[in-house]
Amino acid sequence: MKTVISLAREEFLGGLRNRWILIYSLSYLLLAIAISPFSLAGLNILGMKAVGKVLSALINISLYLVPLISLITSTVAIVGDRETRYLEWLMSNPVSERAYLLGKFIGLGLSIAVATLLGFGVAGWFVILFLPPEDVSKYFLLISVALLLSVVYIAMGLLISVMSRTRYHALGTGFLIWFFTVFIFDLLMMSFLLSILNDPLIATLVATLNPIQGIRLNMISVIDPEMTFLGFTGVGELRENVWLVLGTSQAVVIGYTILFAGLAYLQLRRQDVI
Amino acid sequence: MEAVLVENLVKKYGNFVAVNGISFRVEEGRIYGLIGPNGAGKSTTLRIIATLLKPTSGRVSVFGYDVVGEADKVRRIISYLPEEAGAYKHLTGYEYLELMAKIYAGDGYREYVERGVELAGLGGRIYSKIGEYSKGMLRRLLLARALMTLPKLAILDEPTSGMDVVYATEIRRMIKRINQEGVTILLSSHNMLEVEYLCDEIGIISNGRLIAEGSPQELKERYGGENLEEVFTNLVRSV
Repeated sequence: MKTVISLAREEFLGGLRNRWILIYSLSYLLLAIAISPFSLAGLNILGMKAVGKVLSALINISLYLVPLISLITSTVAIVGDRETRYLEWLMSNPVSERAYLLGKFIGLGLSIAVATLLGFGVAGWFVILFLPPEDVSKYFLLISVALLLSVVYIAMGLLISVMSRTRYHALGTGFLIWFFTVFIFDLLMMSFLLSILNDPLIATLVATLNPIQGIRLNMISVIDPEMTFLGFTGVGELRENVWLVLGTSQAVVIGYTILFAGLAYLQLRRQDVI
Repeated sequence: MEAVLVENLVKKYGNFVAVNGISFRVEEGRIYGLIGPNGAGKSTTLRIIATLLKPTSGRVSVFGYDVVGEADKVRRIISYLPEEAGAYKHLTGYEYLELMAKIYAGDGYREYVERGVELAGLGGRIYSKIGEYSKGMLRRLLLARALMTLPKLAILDEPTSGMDVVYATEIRRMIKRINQEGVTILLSSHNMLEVEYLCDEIGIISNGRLIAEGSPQELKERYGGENLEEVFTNLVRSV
């Protein structure tokens, strides 16, 4: 366990120096600053409760940015160590494949969590200033859900990293997966399912196979437990089965994380270190 | 006791045979050198012994532990210095030794760090960032790291690679000293003078095969050279 902590610490410190994580954190920060005061101030003047608007904007941002930064950093993590010959040397020490992978996973997760908290944090300051305490707690719950999305994409990225021979290959694969899960999957899946099933509940459950959709539903449920955001479907069948949908989506996200991390471990053990 | 036992070792990459049926043994407490031309299979053999590559066939054990089935146990008793090695460039040399010592020793790591600092011989530069080190300084640091834990077996791939004469001489002394403290050494080198000075026994590899083995003196007598360089050249040309 001490080995895992030592490696995670180094990965975390290295992550904080990673320019992609800095860019990510700064983008978040700017977007969050831009969204929060304008939304809150403008809508409050009109007498509207602004939390939904602010948080839904942050949800949309995080659903693009969190998977992207998680994949960028994790896909190069192991293949990068291999290319710099660091892995060759490290793995001849009393470091098991499990400790190495766990150290990477925890260190990367923490560095992305800190960067996310920094970005969300500034927006959070506005939220705390303007909103009642119950909305503040929703805000922090939202951050936790965003971090869950990060975890599944880090596991996915590490699997890609273990299987790639160059960092360009790894980054390219990561970017394709990001593009597919963010933009393509829903178009394909929803049009296909709705054309043959005509059952919004089953269609929604299948859609949660995409972790981004699952996390989106969880985020929406945080700020709008009645699911009115989802329109007709939301107020109808989904509202009655909300726990089934949320439970399935969470199980899928956790399942993917275990699956990808497990496959990465097996592949790392099976193949030559260099 | 045998520190290293290699039996009919084969390593293939697709159709390319990097190591083709090599067998040798290294007795505990000895310095064994593998020499051979570029691409002969030296580094591949060392990497298999260091648990980094999986053999295609054959068997390799280190102090009785199988390098495939008991890789974790092997890694506990060896140190490996690759020909080219990376390190965390944002750490100082001292922090780097500390990090690695903790992996080996947990709370009792300070003794290892002290020995590492002494072996590295970098003076005040041990507190500089590794990214600011010259190639020679980095090599010294990595070698110090490899030897500071007094492993049962140190595997050194081209230990003086890229070093000037003064550094290289110091490194050879360091290797001799550590060996006298009971560490078995397995090394590869292109430098015949170095091999002759350091090694008790030598294995000459060419095209993935072990073509000769013995002490420097035995090899000179057997193959008729005045020095190891001549023995080596004659042998490699004749294969």
